Amino acid sequence: MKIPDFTELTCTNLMVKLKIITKRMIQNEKLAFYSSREQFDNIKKPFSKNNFSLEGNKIDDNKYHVIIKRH
Amino acid sequence: MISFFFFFSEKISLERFDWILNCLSNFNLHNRRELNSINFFITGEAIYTLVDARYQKYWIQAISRLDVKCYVDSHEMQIIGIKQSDINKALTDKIIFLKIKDKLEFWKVFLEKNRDIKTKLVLGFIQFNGPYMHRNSVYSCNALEAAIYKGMKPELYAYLDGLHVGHRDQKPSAFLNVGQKLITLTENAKVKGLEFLMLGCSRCGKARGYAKVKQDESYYYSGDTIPSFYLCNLNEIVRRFEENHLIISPFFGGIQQDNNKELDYQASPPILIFITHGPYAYEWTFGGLSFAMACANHDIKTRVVFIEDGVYSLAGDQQFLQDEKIFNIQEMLNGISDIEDLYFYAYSPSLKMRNSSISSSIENIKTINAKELSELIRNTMKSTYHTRIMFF
Repeated sequence: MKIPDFTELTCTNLMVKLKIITKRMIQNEKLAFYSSREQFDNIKKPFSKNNFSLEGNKIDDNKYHVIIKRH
Repeated sequence: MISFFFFFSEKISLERFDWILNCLSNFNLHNRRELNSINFFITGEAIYTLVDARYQKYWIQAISRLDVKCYVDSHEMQIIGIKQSDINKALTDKIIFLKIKDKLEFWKVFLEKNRDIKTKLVLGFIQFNGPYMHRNSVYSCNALEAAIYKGMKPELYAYLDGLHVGHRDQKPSAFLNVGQKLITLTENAKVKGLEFLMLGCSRCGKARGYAKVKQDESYYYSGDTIPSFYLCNLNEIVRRFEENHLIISPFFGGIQQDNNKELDYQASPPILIFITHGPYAYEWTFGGLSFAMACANHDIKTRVVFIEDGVYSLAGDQQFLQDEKIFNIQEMLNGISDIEDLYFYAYSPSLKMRNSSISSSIENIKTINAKELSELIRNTMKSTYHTRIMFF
């Protein structure tokens, strides 16, 4: 399945999009996507608590492969 | 002791005036010695309410309270052609018409009444509208110029269409050149040893076609803006709201309390955001909710009240075509309603007036009446020195 690339979204729009998507996730479901460094810095804290965990791997100069998991 | 101030530069709807006064009256009921002052500062189109017959009973009700003062920008009053003799004598006796020493007199008095040595000597102005279409870009220039005069550090936060105040190469034929004025103010500030911080939201800038060239980690310089006007992530603007300094916008309120040993003078001021527009005709609602979300993510206690036409965002089963590029406000609201210290409310008199009700699909929103709105304000400002009231 193709990993969505959200790097072109603004940080605010990405945050809103992720909040909407993750609200529909079931336990142990994962969401993978690409983000920019700035976006990754913004989403780290809100998605590392309250039944979510987040990991991100830098794959390019300004690109992260991010996985959000619902617990 | 609690002090309120309201700054009105735009037309105040009857509905708004009614609920604000209703809300304030509930503060008196608790403890007659609780309130220190309620100051209204009015300029621009808000001045029409002093002569408009429909507003008389509201102003008379407000002014009759001993703790209420109304300061009027006489310079703007002169511009729109209203004389003191046009105003009901019952009001003129209680209104303070500031002498027209210069065009900044109103702003100097406003800052004198609201700046406080406990908070930093900074004035922030959040600009939502572009220049020329709205005169409030002139007010922001005047406010910031008065701040510089008083030795306060000026800060401009441009959000939504406010971005356009910082566009380069403005050449209006019949209006104050706002871009050039901001450049002049930057130079004036420098002479006084002050830095004029100008930040524009990069999301709003990107949407409006502003090119972006990376400058440093947090701020971007755009080739489309005047010098020193930086684009940045909304979070950088909200970071300024973590500080305790005075911030205003064309329609703004503030609460200060003092003489309370439990006050935390260092805490970020909580924020009450009133969403007053419908969901999709303007960017107000999306902008307001995005702003609220950013504030809460910065650990700022944030309360959002859907009121006036804002309740339309909550009504009906809002549906979109699959390829429609628009954020579903109800879906957005449900998505962000679990963010810590971010709570949503709907003002029931606004719903009733519009024969409207909250959609069953909306989660985590509480309906409140006038008395409960006063209680919400009271609870929001508890233990903090300063609370901000913003209107979107």
